[in-house]
Amino acid sequence: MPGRSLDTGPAGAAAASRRPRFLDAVSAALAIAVRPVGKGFLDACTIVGGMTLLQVRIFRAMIPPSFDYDETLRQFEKVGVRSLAVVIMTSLFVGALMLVQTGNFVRDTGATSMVGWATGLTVLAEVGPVLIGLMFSGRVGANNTAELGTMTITEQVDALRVLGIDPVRHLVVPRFVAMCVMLVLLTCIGDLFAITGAAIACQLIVGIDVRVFWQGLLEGHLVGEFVMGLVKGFFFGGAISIVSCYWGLRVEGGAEGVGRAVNNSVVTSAIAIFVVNFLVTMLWV
Amino acid sequence: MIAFQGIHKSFGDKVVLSGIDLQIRDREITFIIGASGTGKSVLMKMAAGLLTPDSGRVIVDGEDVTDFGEDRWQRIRTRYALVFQHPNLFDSMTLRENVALPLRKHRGISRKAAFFAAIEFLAMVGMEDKADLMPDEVGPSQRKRVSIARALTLDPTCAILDEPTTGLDVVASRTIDDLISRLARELGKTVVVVSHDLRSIFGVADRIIFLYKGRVHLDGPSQAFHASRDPVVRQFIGGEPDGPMET
Repeated sequence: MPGRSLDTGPAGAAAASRRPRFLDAVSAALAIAVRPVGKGFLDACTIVGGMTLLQVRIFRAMIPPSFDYDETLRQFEKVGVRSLAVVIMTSLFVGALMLVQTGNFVRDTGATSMVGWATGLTVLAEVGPVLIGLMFSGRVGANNTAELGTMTITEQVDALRVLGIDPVRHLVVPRFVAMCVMLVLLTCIGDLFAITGAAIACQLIVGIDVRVFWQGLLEGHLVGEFVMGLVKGFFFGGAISIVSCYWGLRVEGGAEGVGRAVNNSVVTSAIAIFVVNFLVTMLWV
Repeated sequence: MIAFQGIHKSFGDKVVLSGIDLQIRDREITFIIGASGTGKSVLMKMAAGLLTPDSGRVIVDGEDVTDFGEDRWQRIRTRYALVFQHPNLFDSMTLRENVALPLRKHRGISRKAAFFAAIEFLAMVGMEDKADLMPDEVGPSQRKRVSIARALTLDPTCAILDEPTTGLDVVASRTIDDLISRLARELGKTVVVVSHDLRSIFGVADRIIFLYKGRVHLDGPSQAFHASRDPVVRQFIGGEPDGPMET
């Protein structure tokens, strides 16, 4: 059998010259397809790295502790006291909703004694802290990003730097402390109102005696879940402050940039809340 | 003394500074002038560590500060009074609180004592009677005067003022000019002013540095600048729209 020749004449030469061009086109198309993925990955690394560095700078600025008490108190009032109404309203309805969801089910199955425990478990351990965290990030986190972003683009942050004042120590640390502390307190208050909302719904909507609800709740031994919710609140506060300050301090491009940063802050905070919630739950149980 | 050696800086494709070599001498009033976009403010921000050059060195009091990190710059910056082109007062504080802030942070004095001292600095720029107003309750020129007062609270050795008289009425401008003169002549401070205000320039400058196309085009006393026959300088002084000057 004669050996096959690689030289297949003019037609083969044309095919051979077409092949590299085809490969070039394929690699170019692949590059176009892969480039956004690579860019997205690098952007994500930049964001996570930037937030980690900010966290390190916050801890460095807190050792030794030297708070700007005026600014910290202002932040306590701003992030805590002014969030009280929205947290109370949210918690009342979340508690009531949780009870309506579980109440109808336990009433149908006859396990009414479970209603207090089931509602308490979901409200104290999961739904309460997460929803309060999300409300907090929408109200306080977004506001914080907008405030710091405006300070950045109007060179107020640079003004601090030229006065020899560390913006992290002066602006970020008080916000970090205030958000961690106040979100724990707000979670505590939110839990109280969520349980109250659940008790009201239990009696008035589902029609189960409220004493059955209280008995189930108290006999459920939910102290661990309550404490876990507060721990989550603490970490949510830390995450929201770092995310919102990070986006606020890296604003570029005027009012449009501030809007973009606020949007990024809300989205990243929501993701951070769910990630932190998962991690704390996994470590706790 | 501040020295710039072979400074280059670009933003994207736009070359702003292309080989600046100059020294700011102590206790002199130096005006840095030039058309908009010639990198005057960029140069001043480099002197305060807010921007870093693409290449070249920045020397402050004999120390190469080009690669200093934020922590080391904070120590240097307390020697400066840098006033930006736009008066960037902290809008959540009163004028008095704005001026008192650096005193509270660096002098470790009580809030009450800092507020008391702040009034003296506000009086230097004629704003003591408006001490308890918020920044948005006063005009832009008054905000600029307060930002100058705030910058002077830490008794800096060098004041860098970026367009301090722009947008000010004639009387307020003269108040600032008097203050600039007093800082250098009576208090022995180095003053660097970025300005377009020819009346200020010829009124108080010891030395004028004219930047053009990212380089030092002319460097000398105000008389030399006035007497210059360089067509670009003549066009700048005359404010003529037509001429050899590229903007």
